[in-house]
Amino acid sequence: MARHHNPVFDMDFEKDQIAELKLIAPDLSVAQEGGFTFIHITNLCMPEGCTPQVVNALLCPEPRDGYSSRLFLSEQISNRSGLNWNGNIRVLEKNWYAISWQTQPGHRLAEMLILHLKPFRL
Amino acid sequence: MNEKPKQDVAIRIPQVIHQQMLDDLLRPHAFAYERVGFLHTKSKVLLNGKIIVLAVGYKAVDDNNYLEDEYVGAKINSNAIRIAMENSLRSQCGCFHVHLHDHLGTPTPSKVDRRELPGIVESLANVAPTQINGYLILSSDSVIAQVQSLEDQQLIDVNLVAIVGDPLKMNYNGRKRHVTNVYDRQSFLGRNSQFIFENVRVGIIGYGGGGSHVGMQLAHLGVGNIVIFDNDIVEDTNLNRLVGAWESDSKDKNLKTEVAKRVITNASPNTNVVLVNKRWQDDPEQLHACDVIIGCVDSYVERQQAESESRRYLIPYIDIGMDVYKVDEAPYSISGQVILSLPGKPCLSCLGFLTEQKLAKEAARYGNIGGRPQVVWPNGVLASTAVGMFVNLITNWTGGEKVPRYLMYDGNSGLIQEHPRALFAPPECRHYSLDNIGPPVFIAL
Repeated sequence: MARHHNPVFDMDFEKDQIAELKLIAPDLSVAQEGGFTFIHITNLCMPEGCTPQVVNALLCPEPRDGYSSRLFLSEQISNRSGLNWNGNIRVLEKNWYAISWQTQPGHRLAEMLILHLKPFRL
Repeated sequence: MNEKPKQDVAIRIPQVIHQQMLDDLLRPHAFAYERVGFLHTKSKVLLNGKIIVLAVGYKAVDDNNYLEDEYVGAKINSNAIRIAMENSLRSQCGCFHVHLHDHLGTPTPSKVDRRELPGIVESLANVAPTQINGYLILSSDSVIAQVQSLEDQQLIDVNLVAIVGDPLKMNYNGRKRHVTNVYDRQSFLGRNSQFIFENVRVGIIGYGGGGSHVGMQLAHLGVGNIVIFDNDIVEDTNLNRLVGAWESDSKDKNLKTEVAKRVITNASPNTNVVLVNKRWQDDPEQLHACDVIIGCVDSYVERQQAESESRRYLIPYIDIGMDVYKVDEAPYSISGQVILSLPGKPCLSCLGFLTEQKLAKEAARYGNIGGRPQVVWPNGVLASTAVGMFVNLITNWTGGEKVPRYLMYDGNSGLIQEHPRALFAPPECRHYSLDNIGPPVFIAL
């Protein structure tokens, strides 16, 4: 079958980084759109007290929209005030929500996820 | 091909794959009179029952898998069918048997085609029963197709086979519906142009200053199916540019889509106007069903999302936008753009129109673009240019003349010209791979 290879779409994650990430969120998959690679996290446990407690998430580990990485959630967390929800986007045929939260570049995937969950902790 | 369509099926084939098929099928074979290939597809059944089939790749039949048979143009062995079935199984795709009748005009299945193809389609469907399988017959300038119905496994005619490129070739199964002299003055657009206008389905995202001009012009052209996406009501501040809106629309807090319906049906009573009073993201299948999208949105992120979804479903996306800005003590400047984003070809990012910096700046403002200045005439210029681009795309009335796909507008001088960035764009898109066509595939890590 004809494939339209383009090096921009290649993005292999290091196995040890994926293994680390799986310790936090075991159900991971990957998909691409618009030149970005996204890690889909099924049933991500949000910090204690969040409503909902479990959501699906999309981690974009590369710079996007002025952020060094982004975490998109399938639902808004309703009981956390003071969060700036500024990312209501459609990616990979689903509608996602994200807060304005900047992280420093250069983190490993698991660290990245933990840092993105920080503002949801009480 | 006499069966009445039981389901509305549309096939979209990227131009690059269509060309690949023609190039392969036209190659001479040592003893076979013609060649055969297999087109692999992904499909989606929309909630309204319409089926969208998207071509993702073509596989030629190996020379060694042809059998000598003087009674048929091409006979392939079971190995060729097995390979096609294995590809379907491995890629979780549907599959179409493809061959060429090397003449101009609409091809018709031969006696042999009618006898042999149903069995081949049956075999293909056995390994991918949830996908759409069928056959295509190409001619030099047309194509017809049948697919196996998911309902009763009968072969049914495909309503539309679109070759998605520039031009966008719309091969409809059917005949001209009505005869009228309304469109006599635009008959130079092509013998079949009005038939195409009657059948094409155009989506307009955003019925504001730009979208309202587009809607009205599509109605005058006789476009048969127009889908309007807008969830806003008419406000006082819209009346300076929302073409067709009345003062009472603002007082009555009417939806902008209601204005659209009134304007379009007054000009073209036969047009089927579909109103989507919500963000397209909340009813995306209405977008997937469109053949062409014209985006008249305000923000960069909205453009990015509309283009992404259009690329995934092989839909040409035409973007328009304008801005009025002021730098220091200089007079106000009006600028704008009209961009045709075609699957496989440079996207808004390849063309340098969408940039990380612009998206970041917008995100920092939480997507609030504010009440920026807007006036009616630049919207009219840009919308008219977009409609012209659309007309040329589907009728090719300019006869293949190279027409710019990225135009910039200087509202102060009134000049429209090709944007210099277009000259430096890569020939193929670097962001939206044709591998990512159709519903997204998530690969387990």
